[in-house]
Amino acid sequence: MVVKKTALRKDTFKDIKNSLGRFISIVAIIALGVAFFAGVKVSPEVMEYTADKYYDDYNLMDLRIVSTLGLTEDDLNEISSIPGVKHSFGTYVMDALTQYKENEFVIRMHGFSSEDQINGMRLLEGRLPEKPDECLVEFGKEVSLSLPIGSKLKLYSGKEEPISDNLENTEFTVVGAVQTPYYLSFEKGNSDIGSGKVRDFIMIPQENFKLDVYTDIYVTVDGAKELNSYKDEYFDLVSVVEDRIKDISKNREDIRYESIFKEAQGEIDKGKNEYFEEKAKADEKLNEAAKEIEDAKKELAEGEKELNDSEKAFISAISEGKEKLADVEEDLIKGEEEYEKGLKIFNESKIIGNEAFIKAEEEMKQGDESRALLEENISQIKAVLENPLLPKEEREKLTVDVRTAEGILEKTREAVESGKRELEAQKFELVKAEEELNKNKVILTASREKLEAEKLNLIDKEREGLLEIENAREELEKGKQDLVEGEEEYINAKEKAEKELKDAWEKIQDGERELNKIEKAKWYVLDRNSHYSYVDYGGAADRIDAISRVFPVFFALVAALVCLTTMTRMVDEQRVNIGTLKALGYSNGDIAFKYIFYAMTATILGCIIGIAIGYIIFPIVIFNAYGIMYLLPPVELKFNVFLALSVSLGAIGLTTITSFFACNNELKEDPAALMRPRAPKVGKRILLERIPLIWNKFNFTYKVTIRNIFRYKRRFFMTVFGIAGCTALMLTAFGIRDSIRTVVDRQFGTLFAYDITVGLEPEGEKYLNENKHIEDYELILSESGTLSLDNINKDISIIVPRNSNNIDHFIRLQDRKDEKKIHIPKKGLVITEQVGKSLGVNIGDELTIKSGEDKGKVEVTGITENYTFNYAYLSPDYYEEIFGREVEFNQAIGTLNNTSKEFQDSLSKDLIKKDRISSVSFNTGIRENFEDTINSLSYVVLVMIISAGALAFVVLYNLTNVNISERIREIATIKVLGFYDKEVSAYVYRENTILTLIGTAVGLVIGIFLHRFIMVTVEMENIMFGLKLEPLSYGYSIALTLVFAIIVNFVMYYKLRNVEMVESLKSID
Amino acid sequence: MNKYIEFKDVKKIYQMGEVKTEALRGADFTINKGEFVIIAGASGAGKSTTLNILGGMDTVSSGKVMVDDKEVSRFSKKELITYRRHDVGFVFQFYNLVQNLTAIENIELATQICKNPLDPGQVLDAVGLNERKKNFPAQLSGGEQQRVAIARALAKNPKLLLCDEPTGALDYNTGKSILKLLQDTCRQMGVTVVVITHNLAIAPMGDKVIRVKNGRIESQILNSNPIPIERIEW
Repeated sequence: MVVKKTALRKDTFKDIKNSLGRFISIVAIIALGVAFFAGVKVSPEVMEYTADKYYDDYNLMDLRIVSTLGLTEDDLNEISSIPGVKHSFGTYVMDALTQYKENEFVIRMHGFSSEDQINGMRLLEGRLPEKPDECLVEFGKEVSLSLPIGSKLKLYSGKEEPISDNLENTEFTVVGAVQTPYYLSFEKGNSDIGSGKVRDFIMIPQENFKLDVYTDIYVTVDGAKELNSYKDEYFDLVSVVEDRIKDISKNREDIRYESIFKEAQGEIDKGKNEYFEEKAKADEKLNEAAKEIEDAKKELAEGEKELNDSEKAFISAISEGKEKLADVEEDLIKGEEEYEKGLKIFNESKIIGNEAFIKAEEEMKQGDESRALLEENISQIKAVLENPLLPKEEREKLTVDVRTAEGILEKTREAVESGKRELEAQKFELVKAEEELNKNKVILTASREKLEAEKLNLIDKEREGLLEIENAREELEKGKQDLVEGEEEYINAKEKAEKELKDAWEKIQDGERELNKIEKAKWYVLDRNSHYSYVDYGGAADRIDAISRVFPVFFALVAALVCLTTMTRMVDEQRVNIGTLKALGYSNGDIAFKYIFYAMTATILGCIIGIAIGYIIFPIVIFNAYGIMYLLPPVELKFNVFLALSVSLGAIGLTTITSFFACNNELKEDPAALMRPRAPKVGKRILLERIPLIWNKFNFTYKVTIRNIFRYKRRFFMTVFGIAGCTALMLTAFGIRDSIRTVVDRQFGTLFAYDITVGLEPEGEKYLNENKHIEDYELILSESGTLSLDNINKDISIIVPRNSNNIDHFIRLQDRKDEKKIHIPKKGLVITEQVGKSLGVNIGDELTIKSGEDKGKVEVTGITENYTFNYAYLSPDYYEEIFGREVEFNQAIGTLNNTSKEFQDSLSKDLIKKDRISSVSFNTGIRENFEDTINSLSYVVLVMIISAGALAFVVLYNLTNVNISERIREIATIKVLGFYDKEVSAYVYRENTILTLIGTAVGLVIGIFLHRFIMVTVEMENIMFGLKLEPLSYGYSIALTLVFAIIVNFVMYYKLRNVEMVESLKSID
Repeated sequence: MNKYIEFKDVKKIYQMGEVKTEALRGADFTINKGEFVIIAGASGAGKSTTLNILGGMDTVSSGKVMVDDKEVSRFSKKELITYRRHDVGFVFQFYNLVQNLTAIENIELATQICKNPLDPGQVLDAVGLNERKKNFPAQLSGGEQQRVAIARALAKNPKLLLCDEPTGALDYNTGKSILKLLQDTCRQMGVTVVVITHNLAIAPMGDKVIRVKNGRIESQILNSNPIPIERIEW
């Protein structure tokens, strides 16, 4: 006969149906635990898988080769021919400065060759470049520049040489926006131009680069794509090719070094030749000049001599002339004297003569008058005669008169005439004499004039002559002086020429020395472990993994306890059944199977639900939360079968074992005992009772409650633990939010009290003074540097304020724990907390600080509270001492009297226009960016809170259920005694409440530690999270826990109300 | 004669899924104040059901139940609780003491909610457990536990004392002493006592014997001369 156990099986299935509440609570707690564990555990995998797929889709390089002396085409060919190398791509990477929205940024240019090049890109907007002056930009998030399609980018080098030396085009049009696996994280690296930090990248067609060597060669390895790059097998495969490349590197390095060396040597030789040529030329010129000077000297000497001779001759000529003139003058004086004599005589004669003349003239005049009269008479008479009417007598008279008159007239006329003639003759004689005298005078005058003229002439000539000699002498002197100057000039020129030649020679010498110093080329073959984005993201995944090791243990414990209690209760309730089955002859195995089956079914169901939820929700939430910090494609969910199975098996094992333990005890007893009611648990005095002082103060009902609490120890621990877990989770969740909040609030509120950062040259300071909206400011130097200790290097920003004492208005340096202010000492370094931790340094320790090429040892005198990035603060004097160069302030940080957005925009526009000011940024902007990042993490927090609530609910529900079931008789009894429903509830709930309160308190303590653990684990490279929990978080956690507890109690109220007295108190037989 | 308690055509039907169980098919009886009533019948006859209804722990499906001029069958749930609180004292077969409380505390549990209770200490005394006041039920014997239970019921100063097979779990002698206690209480304190038993031998000790059969009252017999329990042997 076949043994069928169908009835037993029916019983089993009925059990499930009849106690659905219990069944579901096991399903729920398992689902919760599995979801959490599997979800959190698979998330890092999903993260890595998604990233790896992204790497594969867009050909992220497996190896990157750079060389200190660049890589040639030959190098590329050599690399390509190495077995195992799938593709190789030689390209150029260069930094440039550009301006966007009036701020200056450093961008990194990458070469673009084709869409499927190694380190390719995912086109998200626009198109790929078709012309050489087109470019691609990053399709970014809020913190990226997000240059719009169509905008033009003008690039400049930021160094002395213009960028057109290295690039064909210097202005590019943005045609497309992309994302590339090469830059997963926002961190793009450091630069030696501009602000020192690379802000963004662009891709420009390779033809643009005028460099004759590649800056980078990227390599992909055969078979690497198929492997997950976060796993060891990948590195095993890649390192083989890596080694092969390293093998040829030595040879290639030498070749490269040789060629450079030769080139450099050639240059130096050229230089030397030039030098010698120039030297010869210079020598020639100098010699010529020397000769000229000699000639000039000679000429001057001759000239001088000539001058002296001329002077002598002149002087003698002048004195001769003077003598001659003196003689002439003597003669002339004689002549003049004679003349004077003659003149005197003449004048006397003249006077006499004139008197005579006057007389004569008077006579003549008389004569003339008479004549005139006569004439008139004549005329009259004639006139009368004319008259024909004239009487004859009259006429005759008249005619006689006329003839007489005329006769007189004639005679008069004659007399007059002769008188006149004589007068004339006399006059003439006088005149002649005067003429002669005048002639003589004239001659004398002329002679005198001549003499005077000659005298003047001589004087003039003398003066002229002397002047000329004077001048000549002056010129000679001048000439002498010129000569002296000329000699000096010559000497100077000679010296200068010698110096220049010396310098040139030194330069050549230097050049030769440098040439010898040229280090051999060094190749660096880097795999993905040296790639920042890859490592950073991998780190993020690791951190999640770390969390997954802690949390789930928690849930597992709770799940185990819940399971244990539930199954124990169930077994207990069915005690009689078990006894009966045993009595009927079913084996222990058969009976145990029933409960194990029950638990297993619940567990399997819970696992399925848990894995379904966990594998979907957690990876998505976590991925997206981290996705804010990285530029990634959408998540690729992965179903890790192994994990799912192992978690399920674990869960099943857990519940099976607990079920087994639960029923084992019962099964040990014999059927008869089982069928009798279980001896109720012994009531005992508790410790507190022995202190009558306290005990008697208690209300009767409280005595019952307290006794009950201590009576059921397992229940006590379970409730406390479950509640504590819930509170702890919530506190952690709120704490995460607080910690992240701290970063923003404390960093940009308390610690960085400044509102504005202006990038400028020192001359630009005056514009800040002028601007009345800037309340106060301080100049600082901000540059990138490194702190190192024992081979650990950490990148930091070095901050040197001009006035170390004034800086606390803007940057508050303080100890995190006691908020005591930290000063920047004269000699000493203040570093931020996170970097201090990473390097393991304390106050008083020494470490090395490096900036550019210079470095020095410094002592740490203060460790300051700081959350974002890492800084090292020191005084300008100390900076100079360490680095041996003066501080060049390049930034100003200041406070504003108005921080509204419109105001800031207009202020920024004003400042940027000014000369010497290169960039303006506001802390409100940075703060907003962070807040956005952080807000997205709220989802994570929300999930945690919901899980916590669910946990609390399930635990409490379960426990209360068990509680009621265990004490159903008691509850029924007091109902019988006449307790109202509310009183019955209170009877049960008083315990619950006290346990909940204790659980909450314990939970707060656990929560503090859990929160701390998580915050420290998820810490990223450049962000330190605050560890302080806000009082409000404590408040919320407590409140929410209590809310959940109240909800459970509310649900249970109805159950209590429906306890059937009759049923519950049914006699056992 | 005072109809202190009256059952009139009381029916009780239990519905469990499709299964209908008729526990009482029309029970009629009366009980007078201060009577010691024995309700006897075979297993499943409906004795317990009667007692439960009488004690306000269950409701009738139809019919009328009067107790001290109050229609208990019409009480709301709350009124039933109040009824149980002040007017009824119940003694179970399996004592149903709260394990976590001492003897005296068990009684205090009941007296704390009554409006006119007796002093717990005195009642415990009355049942002869003065020295056992501070013992937990687990430290008491079966008889002692039942006595505590009875004390608990009595301390409430109820109108009715209902006992469902009070001696079921006790041995012969202990059982007898319990019954004596009940009888004395009835006589001395004037409490109406109703005892369910399937042991017909003790029927003579009651003032009235009600026989239940198949959900109906078979007979109500008055004993004019009830015999003290010490004299009954079985």
